[in-house]
Amino acid sequence: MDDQSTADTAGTFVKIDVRRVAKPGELAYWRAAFAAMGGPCEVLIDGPASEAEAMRCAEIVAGEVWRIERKYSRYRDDSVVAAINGAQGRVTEVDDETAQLLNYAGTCYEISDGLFDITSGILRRIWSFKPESPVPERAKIEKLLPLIGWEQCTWEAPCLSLKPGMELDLGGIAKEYAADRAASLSARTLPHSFVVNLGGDLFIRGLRANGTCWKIGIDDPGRTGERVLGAIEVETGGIATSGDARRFVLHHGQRLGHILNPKTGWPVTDAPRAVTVCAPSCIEAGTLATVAILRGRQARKFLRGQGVRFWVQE
Amino acid sequence: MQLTRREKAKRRAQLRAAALAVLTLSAPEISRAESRAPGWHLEAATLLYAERSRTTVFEPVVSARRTFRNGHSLAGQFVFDAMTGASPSGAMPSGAAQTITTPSGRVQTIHDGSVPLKNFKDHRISVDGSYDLPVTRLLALSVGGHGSQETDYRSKGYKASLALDTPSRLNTIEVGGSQNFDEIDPNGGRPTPLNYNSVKPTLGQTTKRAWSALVGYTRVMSRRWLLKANYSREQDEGYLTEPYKVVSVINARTGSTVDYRWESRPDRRMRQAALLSSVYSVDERNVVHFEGRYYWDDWGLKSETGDVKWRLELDDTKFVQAHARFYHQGQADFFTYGLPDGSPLPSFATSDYRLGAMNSITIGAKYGVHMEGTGEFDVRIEYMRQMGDGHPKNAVGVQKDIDLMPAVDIVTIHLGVAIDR
Repeated sequence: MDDQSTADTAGTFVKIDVRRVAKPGELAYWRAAFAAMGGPCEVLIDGPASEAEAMRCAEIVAGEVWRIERKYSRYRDDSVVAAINGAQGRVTEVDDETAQLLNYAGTCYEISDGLFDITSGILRRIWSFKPESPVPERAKIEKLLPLIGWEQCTWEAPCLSLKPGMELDLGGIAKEYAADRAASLSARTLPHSFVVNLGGDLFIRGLRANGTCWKIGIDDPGRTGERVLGAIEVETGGIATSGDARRFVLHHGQRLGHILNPKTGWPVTDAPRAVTVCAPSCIEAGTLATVAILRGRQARKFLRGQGVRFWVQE
Repeated sequence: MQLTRREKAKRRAQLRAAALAVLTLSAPEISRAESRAPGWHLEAATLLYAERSRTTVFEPVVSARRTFRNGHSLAGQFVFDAMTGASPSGAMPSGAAQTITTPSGRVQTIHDGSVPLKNFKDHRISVDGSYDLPVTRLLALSVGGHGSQETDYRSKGYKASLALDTPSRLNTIEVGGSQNFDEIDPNGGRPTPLNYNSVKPTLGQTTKRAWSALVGYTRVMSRRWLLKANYSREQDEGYLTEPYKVVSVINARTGSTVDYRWESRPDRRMRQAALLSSVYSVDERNVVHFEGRYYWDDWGLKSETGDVKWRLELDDTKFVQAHARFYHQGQADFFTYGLPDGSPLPSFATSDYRLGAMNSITIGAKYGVHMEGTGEFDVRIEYMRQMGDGHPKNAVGVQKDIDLMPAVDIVTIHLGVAIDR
């Protein structure tokens, strides 16, 4: 055996924890927990599945999520994103999957009139969003604005080039995409109903064995983790929430949320605290929720007529 | 910005279409995208293997791997071995001067009670190539071939293996097989097995073939623990005898050597081995490997190996590794310390120490440095002591007073450099 290579990768092995959850009077289910994309993730698998089926489903989900994380993380220097950002103005040739994601991001940019922009991640250098942390100086923001704008990138599949200094961040899409992909892969082998939950971005598949829907709670953004505002029932589809009660700064008594307008480099003002959208896929739900927040006061108006269910929390 | 209802619907349809395009990508399309970073991996190493007062092998190795953008990779390796020194002829020490002829007709005289050795000098050139291609995201195929050449030995073969991952990548199943063709053309001719050593060999070149199959299973047990098990089976057919080795003919009462015969082995051998190995990452800096192997074949040879390595990362760029290995083997059915003079000859007989009962212990250390940029350098030193059964129960006469299998000390020094670009 090639023991040297395994030694080099030791410490990166990963774990999935599978348990049966049974509450009196309720249909039991399996809960598989694992860590990915910077937070806790879980798969809930309907009770009639065997433990082996549950484990297999969890392995498929976690395996796919980890794959996407490795491929698109901006924290790893071996990711596709790192290769693109490190190209310093040169052309990067990308694979089919990345090309489709870039096409998707391009569509998001277009339909949001430039508000949803995968090149805006660079603003995180100056906005930390820890409570009480200072608001960055106007001059610093002005300096970064010329480095933002998808229209400045040259994208003709499979070749992408960014202006030197610009950065790509697929963080706004990758988690939702991973939920959809993982769910579609495990649906091929698992006949039972399940939920993939990647830190609040979900995909739900099918009615449970007793004919009911999975009940998905919506967090109260003011009392996150403590109180649930209500429950969404979905048979099959994606759910994503944008807005985060924990990440904000106070500025002249005004609460600035963590979603930044790429055109001003400043947080969106008058935005709802959180927007939850339920759409045929998690990736669409995530995009619509984010664009809604970016529309600020117009969030509800934007969401109406999109043909999706949504919950806006002011 | 106010959107008309129609404009809004159009945009929503656009988003739906883009989502469908990204979500309906098939697995092979994604697997093509999955790849090791394209580029070159080059390695150069030198190995020096020295048995005290026996064989010395100097072996430079150069290898290269080219990984392509589609995830396929092509690898090649070139090895040169320069072997000099002496290896045991098979004759037993006898306490007296001994004269043995080699197939090429050279006569060699050994004095005192030392192990009769046969001097040799040879070199071997070997080339090896393999091509790895991912078939789907979870299935990978590897095919390869090799060839090697010595003055009296030529070998060529090919191999193929398939590795299947479960979608989680926590489990891997591997199956593989290989086939090998060797041509043996001993210097001075090939002796007739069990004929007297003094009779000049008359047989010419011959062949040997081998088939092997392997099944393996690897599982990631936890974040820190990897376990691997495999079973392999190999069938050898053809000329499996050592053309230069002899067996002593001894006086059944006094134990003194009266003559020598060429050794003889069966022309078929079926070998099997089961291996269990484990890699455990104690923490971010410590990794422990354990490997246990059990081997058996239809020549009656059985062996057990225990191998432990402990690797400690000193910092981001340096590591040290300690290594210990314990090996035990029993003797083959037809291993002998001497054929009694006047008794009927067995079909097969060898005194090759490699088929005799033996224990060996290896201890070693390795030090590696990741160099600035993308290179790596390592040095490994190992010491092995091989201990045969020098005082067997069935020793006769003078054999009882002599260590028939003196311990052999072997030192291996390995220097390697790897470059990625």
